[in-house]
Amino acid sequence: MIIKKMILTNFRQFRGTQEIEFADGSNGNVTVIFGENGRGKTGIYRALLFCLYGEKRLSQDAQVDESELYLVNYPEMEALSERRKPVKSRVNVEFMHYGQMFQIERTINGMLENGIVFQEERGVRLVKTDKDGNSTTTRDPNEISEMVEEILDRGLREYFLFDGEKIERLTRASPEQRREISIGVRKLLDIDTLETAMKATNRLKKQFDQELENRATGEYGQVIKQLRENDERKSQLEHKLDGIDQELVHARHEIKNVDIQLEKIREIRDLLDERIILDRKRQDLQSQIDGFFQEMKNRTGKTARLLVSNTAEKVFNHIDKRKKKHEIPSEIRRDLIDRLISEEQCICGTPIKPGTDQYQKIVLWRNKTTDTLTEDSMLNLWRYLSDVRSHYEDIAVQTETLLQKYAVANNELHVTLRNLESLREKIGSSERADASKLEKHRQSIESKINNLEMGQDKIQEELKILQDEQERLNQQRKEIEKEQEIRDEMAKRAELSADTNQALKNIHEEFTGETRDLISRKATEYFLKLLDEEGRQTLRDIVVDSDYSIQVYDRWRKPFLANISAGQRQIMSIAFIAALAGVAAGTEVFEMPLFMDTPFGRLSHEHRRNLLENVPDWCNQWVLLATDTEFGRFEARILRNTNQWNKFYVLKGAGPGNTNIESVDVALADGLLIEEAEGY
Amino acid sequence: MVKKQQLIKEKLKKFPPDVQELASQALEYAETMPEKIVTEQLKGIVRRIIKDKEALE
Repeated sequence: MIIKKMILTNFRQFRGTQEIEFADGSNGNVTVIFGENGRGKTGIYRALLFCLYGEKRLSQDAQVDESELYLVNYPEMEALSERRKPVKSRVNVEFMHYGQMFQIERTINGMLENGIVFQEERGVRLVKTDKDGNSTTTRDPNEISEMVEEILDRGLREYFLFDGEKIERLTRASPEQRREISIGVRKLLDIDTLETAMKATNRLKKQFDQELENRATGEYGQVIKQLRENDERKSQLEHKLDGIDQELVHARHEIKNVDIQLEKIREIRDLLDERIILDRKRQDLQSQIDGFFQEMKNRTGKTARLLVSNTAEKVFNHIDKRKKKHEIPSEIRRDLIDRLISEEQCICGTPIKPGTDQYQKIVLWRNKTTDTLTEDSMLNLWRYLSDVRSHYEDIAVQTETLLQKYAVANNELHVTLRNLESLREKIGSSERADASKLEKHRQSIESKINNLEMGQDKIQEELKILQDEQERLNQQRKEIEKEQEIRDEMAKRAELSADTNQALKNIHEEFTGETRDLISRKATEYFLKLLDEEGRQTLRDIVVDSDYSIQVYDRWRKPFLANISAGQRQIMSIAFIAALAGVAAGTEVFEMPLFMDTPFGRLSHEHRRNLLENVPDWCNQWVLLATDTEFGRFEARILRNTNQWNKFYVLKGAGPGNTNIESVDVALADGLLIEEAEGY
Repeated sequence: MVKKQQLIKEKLKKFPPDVQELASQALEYAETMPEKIVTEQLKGIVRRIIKDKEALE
């Protein structure tokens, strides 16, 4: 399929009739359709799917109600609503397929009435023109659907017509999706033809065997009958084995999911354990801090002494000085001196007259003395301070030590509290996750897998026995035929059918194996070309499994698919598709477009460059629907250098809900593009 | 696509001529017909091949 032209009439944002001619390989094979978000790029992708397959929904519309999905241009419906006239919306796609021209036109009418949109499909028409110019027209939707499916199977559609950001889900396909993909791939590679031939010859063999059995008698008849019964049993067992295979795939897939959940819970469990330890630490520290605090309170009295130590020291020194001067205690008591002065007589009886030297001396002496009460107090104070002074240093050291311990414990407590807070955030709401149910579930799946594998082994053993038995019986049959010269036609027919069926089976096995290997090699080759330098350091091979699921291996030959980035998945998918197309084509040109909506969204600078440089050589037609944030001058330069880019369309806003498609010369594209696109 | 048919035909060469012929015909029919129809069509081919073989013998 090489898309030549698309004509849109009142479809989505495209009011009136607008046209796109695609680069078709005659002078380049790359078309870029460029526009800001909301301008209708996906509308073009939608138009293609609607026209070819009658699909009205994209995967992004899963949550959208059918009644809100307008394919018909809304402003046009609005304009005609007053006249109560429907709007005819049409998509016409012209494409070539191996020398034949196809033109499909699909119509849908729409009308806006009282604010409600009514849409009605109005049919589809296909015109096919062969190489000699003879045309046939078909209007039967089923027939058209079959013809289109023949060209591009619906199951494979997503390989060639896709949303660039979603393509990476090819690597995440569920078992059911992989089955569908493998059916489509086998069809693309013509393997399904081989398989149909195999099944037909097998059916033929059974029918001839049945005829033979009906006619055969005696030992020969018994052998034929046994052969047939064994064949039937073999078919049953193979069918059962298929069923077990599928169940095993499901079960293993489920176990992987359970393991992922358990892993999350284990991480949380580790965090929970850590939290318990931290909590205990918190309690210990708090307890220590409380202890230190209590001790400080108990020591308040003693510690307070330190506050008055300077004053106490001064007082002690003053009293001590007076003591040393014998001023306290005084040698004669003051009250005695007072009595001597008042009596004006010394102890010895000598008179002491006021104004005399003796009198002055006694007065002076009296002035130096202190009263008894004060003296006693001072002496007591001196004794007390004497005692206290000796402990100041001890008290200071003890207090300082206590304060230091308190500070350290307090700091540690703050750190512990911060760590606890951080742990709480990590644990989040999954704190109460219970792993035991998951573990039980896992155990039951494991048990199921064991039983299935045992069943598998048993069936395979039985098949082996049957196979041996069939060989023996066939040998016996030939001997009997030889002996009894039973070479009648019926036997020969049965034998020929059996031999042909076996031949086709052998070829099928060889061919599918070789094809998968070839796809793997080609996909690896393309993948390594598309990867950036860093990716090439780690990733080595792409391998295609028997169900056509894909796996990537690192340089240590370990499966690495679960660890690659979304961008790497995207290019891996593209490499696979290109390889598939290449192998399907063989040495011929594979006529299938790569139609990519949002091709570069998740891709790095280097990935984009590699894609732009290589993909034009790998496919017949490459259509890119890109936004201004994905496609800038850098991308344009690279694409121009391939000499394959020769169509450029710009989607421009033309009022609310409308877009015009404008063709622009590729050489003038830079004028519309920004220097460096975003999103690297 | 053509190359694949050639590949299959190449692989068929190691089998006897009657098997080659029946297999080739089965493949040709299988490209455009469903399995049951192919089976019915092949019955006639088988009879013809057997008769031709007998005639040669």
